[in-house]
Amino acid sequence: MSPIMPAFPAHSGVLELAGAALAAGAVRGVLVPMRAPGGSRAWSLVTDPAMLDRADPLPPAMTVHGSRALASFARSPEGGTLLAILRPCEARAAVELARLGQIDLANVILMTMDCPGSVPLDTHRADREAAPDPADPSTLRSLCAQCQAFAGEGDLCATGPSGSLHALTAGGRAFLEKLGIEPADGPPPMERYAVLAAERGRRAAEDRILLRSEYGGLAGLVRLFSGCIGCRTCRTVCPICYCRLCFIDMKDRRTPAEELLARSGRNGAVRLPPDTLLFHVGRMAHMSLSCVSCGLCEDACPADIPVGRMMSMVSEGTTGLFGYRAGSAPGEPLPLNTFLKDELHEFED
Amino acid sequence: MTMAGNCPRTGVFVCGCGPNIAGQLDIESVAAAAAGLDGVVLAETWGLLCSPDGKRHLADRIRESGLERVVIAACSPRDHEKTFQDVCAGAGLNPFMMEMANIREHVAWVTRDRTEATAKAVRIVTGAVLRSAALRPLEQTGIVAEPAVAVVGAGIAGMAAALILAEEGRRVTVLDRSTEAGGAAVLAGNPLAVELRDRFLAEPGITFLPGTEPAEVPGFFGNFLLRPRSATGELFPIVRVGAILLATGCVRDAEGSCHPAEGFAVLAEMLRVETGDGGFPSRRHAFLDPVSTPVSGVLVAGGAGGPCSIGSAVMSAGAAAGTILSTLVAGREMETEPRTSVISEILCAGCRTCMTVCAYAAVSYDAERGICTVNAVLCKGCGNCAAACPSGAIRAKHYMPDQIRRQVAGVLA
Repeated sequence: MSPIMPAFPAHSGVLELAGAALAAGAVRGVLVPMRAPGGSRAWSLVTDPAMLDRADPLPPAMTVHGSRALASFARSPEGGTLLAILRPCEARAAVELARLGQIDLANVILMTMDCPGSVPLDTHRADREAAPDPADPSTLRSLCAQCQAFAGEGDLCATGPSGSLHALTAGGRAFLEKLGIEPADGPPPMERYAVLAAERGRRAAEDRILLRSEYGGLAGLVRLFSGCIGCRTCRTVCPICYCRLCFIDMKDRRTPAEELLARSGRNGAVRLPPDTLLFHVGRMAHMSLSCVSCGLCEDACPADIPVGRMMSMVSEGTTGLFGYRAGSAPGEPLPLNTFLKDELHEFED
Repeated sequence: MTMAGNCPRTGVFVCGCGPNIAGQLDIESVAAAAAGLDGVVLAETWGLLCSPDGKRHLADRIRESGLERVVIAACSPRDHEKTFQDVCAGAGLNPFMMEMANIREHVAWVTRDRTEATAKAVRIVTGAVLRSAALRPLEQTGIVAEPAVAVVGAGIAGMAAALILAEEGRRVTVLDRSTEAGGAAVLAGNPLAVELRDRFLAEPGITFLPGTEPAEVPGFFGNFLLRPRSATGELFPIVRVGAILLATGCVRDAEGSCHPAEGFAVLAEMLRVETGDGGFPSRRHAFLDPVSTPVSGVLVAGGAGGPCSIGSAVMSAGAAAGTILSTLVAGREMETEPRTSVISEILCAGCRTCMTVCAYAAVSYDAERGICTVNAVLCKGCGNCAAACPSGAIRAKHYMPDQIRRQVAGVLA
């Protein structure tokens, strides 16, 4: 791994902390990826400190989003205190899901480590140990290569080559206090990553210029999504998509035959099943404010459509409108639920 | 524009509204265009449909032609929806099978060009006709009005009103933040106020809850569900009352200007009463009805409505009590809104977004099942929750997706 993010002594340090917390009874469980049979990794709820030997806190690939694993456990505070060891984008998604009423974070400590990124699933299938190199975008998934928020999230973060432990919230501080651990002074020092973040910012901006020129406008979007096979995998793997039944699948919004004939009549033909574009644009409308740019949708797309980069680009625009950032402060209200008399004047006549 | 399915027998009535609509657009053309739509068996114009003659004519047509749907192209439903619903009900048609197309406020009053206005009216009427085919009958239900009254504030006005109400046999619950009854007048040592306080405390029909304030007040005229709370946050059992009298008084600041009592803004918001001048509640009419707020069943007496003398406070208390006694009649049936929202238990993800947008406190969260539910008696059918639900789990009964889609298709046809 490159010297930008040296092999992490915190790996063992973080697991040591988790083991100590379990042994001391400060938490009832630890959520962490574990090595599974066949060389893959799986999110696991660990209660026996001895099992942490098999944990792999920053696995090379992202298979299931950590926030999704967390949401399957922490729907209410009843489960007791849990320490969740996550990537920064997973911690932000967890906070966003809490705002959306899908996770209860009252008894959850979110702990993150500096994330080197993930290798594409294709790479991972070929070689379970192929590791991401944060300095070499060719080893990373496309959205990881653009990610600038790869450190310093959650209640606690272990950061830098020495793995210094910082408490970012009162909950994080209280947790460390319970274990008799003194957190490092001050906020996590992010300057060391400034060059890498700036480079990735430039890459994202260039990529977005390209996407806009290729796929801008209705005709561009039709071309972009024409290869969609309608598998809905992008929706299935998305950590934020939480509806129990997607709007696109609801029976009472099925398009009647008469309407399809009318649409066909306009251009001479209509694509069936209908509403491919509606599905993707609908997803952008529904999810872009809460998107944490984790990139799972794009990595999973069997048709190689840049759904993640598109969503991330749209998200930059929509969140910018409201000065919002998905998964930042937990108490902050959702912009679409907040009525302000004085906003969005740029859209007035 | 055609739509599949059996088209119900539909009558379209285009109202001229005197010269209001007829003067701005060609209502004959609108009726002629409507006559060509599927299911329309009758499309005609009328000078003033809300007049007694117009209503009689409408009822006759519904009966003669066996109409299953009625589309009224006229004014805003805010003005005459109820009028025409009643006509339909009288003629044996479920009132929710009537759809209004607002071609007065939305067209005649805002679109200058006669040709454009006529074309716009045709689109709006087409949308209404297509939507009306998908309407489903809804049943009007009611609940019996609660004659009991809550008074907030046990000062001179609150005590005077409570005594009048109690002497007429009404159960009265009086809340006051202070632990003593009497308010400013008793503190000032006014002997009449002291005497009033003693009668107030001795009156068996009055339940006085010292040191309390309303924590929440969902409901409406005839059926408010008031939950008192103590200063320490302790909640008391819900009190069901038909009307609420605000007698919270006012205070004078160091500069000599008067403000409503502390916490009044919160109380006003809870009751959806708008406040105007200096934070005092707005009234139905400054001279003709100074004790009624625009919210039915919420009244104001004494200093809560603005600074006043002890004499005026007692007089306004009498007026407010009289208004309550004459309008809130025991045993009277109050109509509830049939166009409520319903939440699908299967689709609800329990995110509680609906609760943040409901202005009527009609949605609550069931922690055990992890879903939200609508109290149909409190729901006013505004549709906020249905629009806000990220999961599409909420349906507004009178604005179902097929009804909306057909209307949009009709307007765009």
